[in-house]
Amino acid sequence: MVTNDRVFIVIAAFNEARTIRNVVQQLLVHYPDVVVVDDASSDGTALCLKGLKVFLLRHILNRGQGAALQTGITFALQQGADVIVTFDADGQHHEKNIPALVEPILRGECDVSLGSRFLGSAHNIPFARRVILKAGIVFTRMVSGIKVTDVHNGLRAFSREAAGSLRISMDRMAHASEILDQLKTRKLRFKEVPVDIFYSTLSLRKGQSSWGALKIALDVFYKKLAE
Amino acid sequence: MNLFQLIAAPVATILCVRSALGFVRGKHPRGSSLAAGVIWFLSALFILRPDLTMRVARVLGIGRGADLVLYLFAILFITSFFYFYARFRFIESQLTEIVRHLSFSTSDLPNKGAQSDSSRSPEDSAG
Repeated sequence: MVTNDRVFIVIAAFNEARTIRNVVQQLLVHYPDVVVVDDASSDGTALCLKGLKVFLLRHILNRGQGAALQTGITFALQQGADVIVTFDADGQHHEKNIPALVEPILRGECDVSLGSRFLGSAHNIPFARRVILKAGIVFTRMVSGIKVTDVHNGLRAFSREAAGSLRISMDRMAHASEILDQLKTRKLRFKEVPVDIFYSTLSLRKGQSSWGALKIALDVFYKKLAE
Repeated sequence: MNLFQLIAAPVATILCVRSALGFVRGKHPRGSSLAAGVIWFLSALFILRPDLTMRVARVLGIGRGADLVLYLFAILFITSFFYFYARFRFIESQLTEIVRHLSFSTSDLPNKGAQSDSSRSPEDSAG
């Protein structure tokens, strides 16, 4: 993808020493502006990036993926990003999906592109995970009124204006639901794009548990009631 | 008077007076002092005159005085829960802002390469 617009890739990383270097190296081939936010990892995640030309930010306390993404997004905006892509550190995402997310924004078709594994492909996705994600779709439609096919995909792209207007306040995993909620309240145009998600043994072991989905739902529920 | 009334009523009265003094002196937020004072006053009143709960309950169409107390307790509990939840989220967000601000001030830039030691100055990493 050739463009004069500055595309920043923001990665929130927590204890991803095994995968982060490989993920970042593959991104740097095509995207020189990569921001890694190390969310107080204890396994030397930041050390694994030694010698790579990345923006490296470090949280001194673990604040959660939502907080780390907002830190990366804010930093990218300060650096003059025109488009910001959020990308997972665990190797589940593939950089070849990035142009499909960015190009609709550059053409002015939308403000936000949302990756959807159910429009694309989800390799080795466990059955239970598929069921929970499908339940999440129903939950999101009830709570936020947003119709999407994948409510918890970390592969997204934002225009500069959209990234500046969004504010992730939910520090942990409920941030994904919050982003969708804000798309509606801020009247941002969004488009779903097919992407490929690769589940490995490592990413499944480290990823969200089924109980985590319940916690996310409770966090969203409490926040709605408290507002 | 029974033993419970002998113990609980003075305690509630003292706490009511303490809240009233806090309201007058303004040492604590006046809204909190007022709310606490009202709760302790009603507590003392209903402890000393439990028949009053029955009268109030009848006026409100609630069956028993005990039910009235239970409903009031439930409302108070739920209100307190959401108040403290909102406070907790506010404090968490402030903590995140501090951590974020610190991360910006210690960021490593790409032309210097990612550093393993955040205590190193940008000048140390050149070359």
